[in-house]
Amino acid sequence: MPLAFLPEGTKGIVKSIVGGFGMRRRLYELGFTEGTEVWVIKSGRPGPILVSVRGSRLAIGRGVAMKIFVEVVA
Amino acid sequence: MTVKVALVGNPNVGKSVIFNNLTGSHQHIGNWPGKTVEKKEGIFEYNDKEVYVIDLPGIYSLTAYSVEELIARDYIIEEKPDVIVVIIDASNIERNLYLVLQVLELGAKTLLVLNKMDLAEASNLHIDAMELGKLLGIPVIQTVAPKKIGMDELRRKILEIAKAKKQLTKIRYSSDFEEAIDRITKLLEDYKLHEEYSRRWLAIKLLEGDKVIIEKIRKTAKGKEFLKRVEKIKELLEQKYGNLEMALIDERYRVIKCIVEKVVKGEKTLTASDYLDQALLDKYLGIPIFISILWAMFQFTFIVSTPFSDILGDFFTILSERMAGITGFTRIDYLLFGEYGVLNGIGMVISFVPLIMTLYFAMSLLEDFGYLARAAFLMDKVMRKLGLTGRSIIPMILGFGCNIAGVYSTRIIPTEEDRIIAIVTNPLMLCSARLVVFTAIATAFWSSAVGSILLSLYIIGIVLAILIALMLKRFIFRGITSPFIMELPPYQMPSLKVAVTQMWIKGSLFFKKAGTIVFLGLLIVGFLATTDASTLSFTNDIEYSLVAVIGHKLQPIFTPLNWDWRLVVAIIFGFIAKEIVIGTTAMLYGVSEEEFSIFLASHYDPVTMYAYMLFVLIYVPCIATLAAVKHETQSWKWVIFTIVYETLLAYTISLIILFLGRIVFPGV
Amino acid sequence: MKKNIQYYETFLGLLYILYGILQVYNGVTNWWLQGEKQIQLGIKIFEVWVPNTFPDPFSGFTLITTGLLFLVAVYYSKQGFTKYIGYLFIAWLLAMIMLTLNIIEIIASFLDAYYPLLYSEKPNFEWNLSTDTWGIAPHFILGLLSSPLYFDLSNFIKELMLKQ
Repeated sequence: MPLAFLPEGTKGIVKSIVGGFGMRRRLYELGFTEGTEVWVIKSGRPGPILVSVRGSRLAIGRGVAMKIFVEVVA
Repeated sequence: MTVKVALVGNPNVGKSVIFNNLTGSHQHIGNWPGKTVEKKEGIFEYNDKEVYVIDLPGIYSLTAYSVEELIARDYIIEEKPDVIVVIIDASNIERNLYLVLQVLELGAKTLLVLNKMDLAEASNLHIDAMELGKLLGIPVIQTVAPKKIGMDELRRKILEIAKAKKQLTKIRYSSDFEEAIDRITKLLEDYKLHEEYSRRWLAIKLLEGDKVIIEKIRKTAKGKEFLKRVEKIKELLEQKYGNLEMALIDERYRVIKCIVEKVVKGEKTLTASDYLDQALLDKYLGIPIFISILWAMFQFTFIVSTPFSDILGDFFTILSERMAGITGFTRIDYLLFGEYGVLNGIGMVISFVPLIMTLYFAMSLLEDFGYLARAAFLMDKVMRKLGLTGRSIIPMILGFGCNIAGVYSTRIIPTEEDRIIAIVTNPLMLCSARLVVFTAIATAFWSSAVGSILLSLYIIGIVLAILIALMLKRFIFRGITSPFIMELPPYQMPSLKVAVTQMWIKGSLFFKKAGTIVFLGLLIVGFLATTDASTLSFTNDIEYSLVAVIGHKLQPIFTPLNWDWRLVVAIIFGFIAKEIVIGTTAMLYGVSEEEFSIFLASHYDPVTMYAYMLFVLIYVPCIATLAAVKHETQSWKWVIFTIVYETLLAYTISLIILFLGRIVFPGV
Repeated sequence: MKKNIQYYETFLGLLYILYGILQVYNGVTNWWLQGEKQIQLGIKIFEVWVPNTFPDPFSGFTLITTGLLFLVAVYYSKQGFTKYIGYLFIAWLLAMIMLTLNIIEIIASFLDAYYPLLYSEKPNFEWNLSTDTWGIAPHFILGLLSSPLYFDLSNFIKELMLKQ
């Protein structure tokens, strides 16, 4: 499911990212590669999402979060 | 011979502090040629050797996604520093290592600095620096930059490495990739192409399909032939891995994961920053907190600066009185020291230096603390609905200090359309110059609630900016807004030293501006005000002067707004610099700074003046800002657009408010 | 959080909200209806209202926000969430900021009135607490009441200060 739908406090593993090349590469470089753990810290529905990826905290917009597909872990 | 060192790292790792520690006062801050990115360079001496240090902009990778990355990459490749010092955040090691790997690919002599070790320890992370160095094949130094721990070792190591032979990086990717890299490297040897660059690096760039490198090679003799053979090598790899650029990013992270597993022990626990974010980014309370903090900031600014402003004002009034008649030339005396005198006008402006200083002091604290990034996050929710991006909040907040800074800071907005919208609406952000004007007027009418009246003006400016942005988005630009991806650095105790420095710099800038542009402007106004329109000789009756003629000619346009010709003239001269509006008005009415408030209160009613303030807020920004707009948008079209829409909007809104005001406050 | 502290914070939170609403009300009446009855909730000591709920809607808004933060902190603490501490800290921080603002305001007003005495006979105007815009505002009293919470927050503050 898209990262955007993950509730607060849950973890997911990145499966794939759809969308434009530039954005995908950017996300990749920031650590959103396949198999990476993503932890949702704050999800203001609607609104941007605060996640922890590879130890750093990133705020990503809802639109972007809709394009990152993850598998829920816990 | 001077050793050349480049500092590289992610944003927020503490690079600047380390740079300051190394170079102290021997630094120079300028701009990268043709760009608005800061260029920081400096020098330090160690063991009789001189070392030149350049602090490259904070970047996440060397892929040239943004201006900063281009600058950093170009510098490293073209200038070939003797040592590259990569600074990483120990509490955030995994993502930081990505840049390290990219730098290692360059094949230059590299040194790794693990900063924020105290933070890592506090978060329960234990990092084996020795092991890390072994795995990467480069020396590693641990530092806690603000406490200057590790600085001496850093200096020593820099010189050590500078003298040593070339390093060989130990980082190797998986065999398929290494094989391809080897083959391309051999080809590069055969063809003897671009021998000034590291072959391994070139090979990796070619695999990634780096456009800049490919162009360079295409231009050489036999370049095209070479590229064809590289294509063949890539094809095989692509069949297995798909897009090679992405595959290489994956590879790097795979290697990083291996390293991290061996080197980092402990799970990162929740830090105080996390808890703060829970509250500050709360779904419902986040924005009220934001508004409260803004209110507190503006109240602080206004309250603290008032007594000092009054003292300065008095000083100029007394000075004016004492200097009257000093030159012996009536005309000059009158011009400079008379009731309509320039000194009088300038005095009013300068008396606001304390206001500027406290404002920048407070803003610096807020920025240092790390709150501005959160503000962008908070506002993004709201701004998306209006077709803006959360990133736009930063130019908006900077615009409150000075619209010029706001306009230039729109660089951080990736898409062209959003950038233009941010640039064009920035003048609606109440800048400190206009704050000066409004404070003077507001004090006359609403002495007990000046702070709140000013806040209302700020809010109206913001609301209008949003509306204009919405309309622009809907009718002129139809496009997708840029994706919002932003890192939130941990909070930190704001530095008083930085705040005081900022306050001092900006305060003196304002002072200088006052001394030059504003002074000249007032001089012109004063001259026009003391020149008889018909005889072109000196007159001390302002009603007959040139300025009165101009004012009277234009006044009819503004009758619905209830202004007399002097306010009209003040508006015109506000074009030069907004602060002039106050000085001019005082001069034209022949009142001193003390009397200004009383005078205004007795001649105008609050509603008219509120509408007047709105007009000054919305209409054309000062010349300097328009110059910035032209510079950033690279076109006259937008400059003209700004001038036209703002003037029309100003007039319309003023009229509406005046009309509404009369209905709601009839007895006023 | 100990039960007593919870009660205290709830009490503080409610007070902040109460005075916040009063300030908003006063602000609105003062500006809109031109100085109709102003509500004061306190005691008068030598002509000085303690606390002085001066009319200002935006100031009131900040008081209300602070109060809400206190209440939310207590709520989360009762539910067992550790995140209550972030809310408590922000509430306390805002309380301290407002207390400081009040003190600065009094000093600044005093300075503004009497600095001319440095070079002339007459002050700018006669100043005393009862006529001051803010006076001893709710910011001051409630801020003082909130300050002991520092001891509850000291560990958290120490950790925050660790970063530079």
